[in-house]
Amino acid sequence: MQSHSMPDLERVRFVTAHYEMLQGLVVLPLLTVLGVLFVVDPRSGSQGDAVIWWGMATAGLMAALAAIPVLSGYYRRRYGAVRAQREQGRSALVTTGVVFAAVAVLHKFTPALPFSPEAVAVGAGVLMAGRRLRPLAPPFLLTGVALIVGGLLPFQGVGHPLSDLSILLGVCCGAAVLLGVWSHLLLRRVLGGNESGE
Amino acid sequence: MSEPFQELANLDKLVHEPARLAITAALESCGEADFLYLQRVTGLSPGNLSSHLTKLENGGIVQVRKELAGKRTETWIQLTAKGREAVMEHWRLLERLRPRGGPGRPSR
Repeated sequence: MQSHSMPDLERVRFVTAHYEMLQGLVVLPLLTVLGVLFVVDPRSGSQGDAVIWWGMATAGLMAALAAIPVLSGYYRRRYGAVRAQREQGRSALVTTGVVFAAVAVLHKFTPALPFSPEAVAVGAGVLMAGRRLRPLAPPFLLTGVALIVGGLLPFQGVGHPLSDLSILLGVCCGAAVLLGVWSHLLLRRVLGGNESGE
Repeated sequence: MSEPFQELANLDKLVHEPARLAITAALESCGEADFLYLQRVTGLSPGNLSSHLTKLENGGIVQVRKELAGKRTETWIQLTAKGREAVMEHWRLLERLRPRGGPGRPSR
């Protein structure tokens, strides 16, 4: 039996309440493929290259989607299952939707600037999310600060790269991959210590 | 007996035992959890976990039920309404006691 101090019990509560969200490996392949799709532009090569690119993108997406139930099964077999008390994550989804809608409006009506208000807005949203989800704060903090600093760095040229929505979405996917890995490690730290269940 | 000690004596022993405190802390954060999850989160062996769950079930704190999942039988555990209230009351009592003798209070 592990001895549980108060902070441990807080961690037990957090992991149990957010168990589904913390299964970071489940969406890792999909986020990676989406991140690559957002950042790599198929129009930069020849037409033949574009056909190959789209074929690979479709295959990658199919494989990533097929991996979701397999990876969910891995968590269920290894760590067990939890049913949430109430619908978890709905407010997080709504907040994410609102932030991205605000960024889209900002993008639409802001002229090309040497800095990126879109990246700063997303960075601020990420920092606020990190305040709410304390055990996941490090990846949120890292991403939020990186987006704000990157967005404020003046860029010589037509428009800031982070104001390009596909690049910004690609960066967000990269950040979500980092968050997924961190979530998985947190789950392993809290639930992985005891191997007697295997 | 002085008041703090009286309150200490009133702590629900069924809930306060460390392993059962961990079990109820997990269960109060979700609707229900399966046996393997509780085993993982508490670090208890299957036999020990079973024994604690039986005590909690006999005390009316948790409800244990079996569910068929394909060819396997899964054991799901949830706090009863009475159990949820008992756990919340237990933590309220601990919070009340904390300023009187908890960490951070200088000894005289």
